[in-house]
Amino acid sequence: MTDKPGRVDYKLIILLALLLACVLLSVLLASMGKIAVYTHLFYIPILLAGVWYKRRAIYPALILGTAHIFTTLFFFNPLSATILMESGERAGMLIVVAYVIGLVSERCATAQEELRGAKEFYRVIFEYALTALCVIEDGELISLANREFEHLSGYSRDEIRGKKWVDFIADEDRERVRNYCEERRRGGAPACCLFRFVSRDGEVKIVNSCVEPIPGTNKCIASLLDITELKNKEEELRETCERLQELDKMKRDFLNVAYHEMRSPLAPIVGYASLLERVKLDDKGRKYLANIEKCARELEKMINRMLELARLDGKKVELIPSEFTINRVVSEVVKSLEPELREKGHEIAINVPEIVVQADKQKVVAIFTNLLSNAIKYTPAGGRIEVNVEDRGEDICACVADTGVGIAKEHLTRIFERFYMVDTSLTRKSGSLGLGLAIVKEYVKLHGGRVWATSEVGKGSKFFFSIPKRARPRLKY
Amino acid sequence: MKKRVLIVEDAAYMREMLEEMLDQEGKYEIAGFATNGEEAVAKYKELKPDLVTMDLVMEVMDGIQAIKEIKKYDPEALILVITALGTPEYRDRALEAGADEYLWKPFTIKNLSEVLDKLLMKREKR
Repeated sequence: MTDKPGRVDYKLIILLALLLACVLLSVLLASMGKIAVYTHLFYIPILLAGVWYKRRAIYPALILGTAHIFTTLFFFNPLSATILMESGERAGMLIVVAYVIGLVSERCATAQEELRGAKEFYRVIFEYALTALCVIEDGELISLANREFEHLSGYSRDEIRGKKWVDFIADEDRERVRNYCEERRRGGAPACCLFRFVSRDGEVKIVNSCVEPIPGTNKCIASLLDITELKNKEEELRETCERLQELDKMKRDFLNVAYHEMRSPLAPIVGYASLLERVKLDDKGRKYLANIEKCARELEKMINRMLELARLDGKKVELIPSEFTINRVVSEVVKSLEPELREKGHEIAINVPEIVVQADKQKVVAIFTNLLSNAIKYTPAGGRIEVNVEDRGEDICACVADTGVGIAKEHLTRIFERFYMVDTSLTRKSGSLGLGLAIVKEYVKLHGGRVWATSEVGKGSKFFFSIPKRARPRLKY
Repeated sequence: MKKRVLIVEDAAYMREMLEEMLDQEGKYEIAGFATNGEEAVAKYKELKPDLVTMDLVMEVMDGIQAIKEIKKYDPEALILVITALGTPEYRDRALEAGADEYLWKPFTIKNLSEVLDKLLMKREKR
């Protein structure tokens, strides 16, 4: 390890001084003929260099070894091979020792470095985690806590150190948490435990905690997450949900009651009208009566649609499949809508092959009735309406096309939503509640099919739906 | 012999209309009226009619309860439910209680006549 630049490297100075002293001493001693003693002195700077400069200790070893050989060469006369070999051996020994010391001290330093790094690494994780963490000794005393724990508890870490872990747990939860910790130590308990945490000012917070034993020690690490706000939000959401459910039930009840109360006065209107039919009336009277009956029928249809919606919301709709041919259903529906068709002078083209399906007949009738009524309603007099059904093997795909007013793109994706009306102004086409297509969608979905529409404003719309040929009986959802 | 009918219905205009319709049919004669379930049970015991038309939503005692009580008193009683409650659940509940037929409001005289014929035919077969 080198020191920072700009600072006096006193170690290097000491080392150089020692080296110089050793060289001078060796020259002095060699000149006096005492060659065996001074080489032992050389180990002092070598050891120091090894500790301080690791493997670079090899350089002073080389210098000293060379010095040793040179002094031997210079001062010994006559020079014998034995002495030269001995000198070389000592020089070599110096280098080997320097290398080994250097290597060992380098390894030590690296290990220390790594240890320090790892400690720092885990200290930073511990300290700056967004979870409150503390170390518990013997399941009792807290010996270490992090910043977040200070924050959670309201105590400084000096105050926390030495406090009992249970002091932070609300009385009613102590026994439970203690059992949890015991279980956890034995490896049985689930990872997390919820309890009430009491902070310095007595505030109770709900925390989710995990207590993990540190293997090989009698310490545990407890991590605590403050979920008070989450819990409060959860509570709020639950209340809102309950309230909404209540409101939804109120709405359904209202619709059910409204349905009954609206149909009741309709009964004498329809009933008396049917009685009037048996009375002799003049032409005017007949016309009035026909109008009353027609309007009563309209009103009844609309009320029925409202009820259907209430039932769809109440998840009370069942799919009751039976076998029938689709072309017969289409002609039945078209026949029932004949008065409206005739009134508006529409031309209708039906292109439906004989396909046997297993589906809820009543609902398929309702789907076609709603789509065709819309086509008739939103097409100016003298238009053309087409019904096509295609056999696609597994399922059928039906299309009801008109030459009507069309639907703008921004409305097209929303027309199947309940209550959605393209036009709510006073110039709107009257006689719609925005429920027909919502019912179509629900019924198609109930069959496990799909419904969609394409349109061009001013030219007309096409409504498509596909349903499997074999529908399974099921309750909505 | 004309069939004697007990009309159970809380709305006066409906009682009047039913009376008129049954009258026009010719086969029926009105045995009496009741405006709630409790009265219906009492009247049934008193008048022993051949047929009962029963509303479901009424004060004091509802139609379902009245059907049960009448059937308990006389399992042979013939009861036609006439109601504006349009969901199949109510129909099922009424039939479960012992009603023989179910007619939804609004209805025409033709609807009423048809359902009554069906009801009487069913009874004669037994």
